[in-house]
Amino acid sequence: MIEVRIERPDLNPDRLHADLQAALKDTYLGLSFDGRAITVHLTDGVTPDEQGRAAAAVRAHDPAALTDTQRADRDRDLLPFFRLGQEELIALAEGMEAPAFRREIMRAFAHLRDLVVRGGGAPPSSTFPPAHK
Amino acid sequence: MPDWTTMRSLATGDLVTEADMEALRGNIEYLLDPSHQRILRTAASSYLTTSTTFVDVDSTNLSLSLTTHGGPVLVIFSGCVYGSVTSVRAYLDVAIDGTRHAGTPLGLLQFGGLGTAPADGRPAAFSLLVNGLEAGTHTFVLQWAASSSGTIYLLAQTFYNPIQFAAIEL
Repeated sequence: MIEVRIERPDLNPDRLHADLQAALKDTYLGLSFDGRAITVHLTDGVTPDEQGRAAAAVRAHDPAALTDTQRADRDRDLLPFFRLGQEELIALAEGMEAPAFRREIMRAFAHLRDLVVRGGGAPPSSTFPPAHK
Repeated sequence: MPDWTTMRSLATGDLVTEADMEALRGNIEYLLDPSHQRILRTAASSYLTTSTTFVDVDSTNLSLSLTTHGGPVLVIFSGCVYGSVTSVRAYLDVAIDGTRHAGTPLGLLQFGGLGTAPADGRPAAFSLLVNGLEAGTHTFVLQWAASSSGTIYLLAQTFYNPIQFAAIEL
């Protein structure tokens, strides 16, 4: 096994794993993280070029980027909020702490924005969140 | 730490020397304090892997080096494991002098039905009695692998659970 170790303190392991799998195919065995560095595990026959591609993928990795599954999970978590009726929403809001309420409102706005963008409609003309006038 | 000394065989009429008594004293001390090493590992974040092939959890900080005298060695591990999805399984093993001990595809033992958050971590532990090691210095490294369906995590943060990894010659 050949290991490529890159020092960096943060990652979204599922997303990086998917990206490395797509880039390196059968030469990719998995990744590990020990709090200080990401190690990419590759098969013995891997070429220097493939090792370089593994390193580049780790360096270019955006920990905030989600996999399709993670995005679907996030959307699923949001759905109950959208399924509730008006009175149920009010009751829910009254039972929430202010920071949690604000967080849920922002998640709902972000979800709506994603629905508009991914649904093929025109993106909102204003910035998000909207600037105060 | 005291050393074990192989004592000469004595027969009736042999003179018991100061060196014999010194060896006996040293061996008694050794039996009271045998060769051992214990790691109680905490870190800034959890360990994780997606590797489906066994790899070291941490070749620097979860590696034991023990100088033995040919006796059996008891290796002990405990930690707390969770996964990115409930379907992922964690496989654990120990590499002794670079060779994975169980050698089987799923390792020494496997954990399924994992929780998906640190708070839902499952206790994982094993005791392994290793026989047949020749006298000398040996390394014991904790290894793990994941099934192909996700990421596995081993908690190490100070506000969760430390990892215990230890070995003692019996």
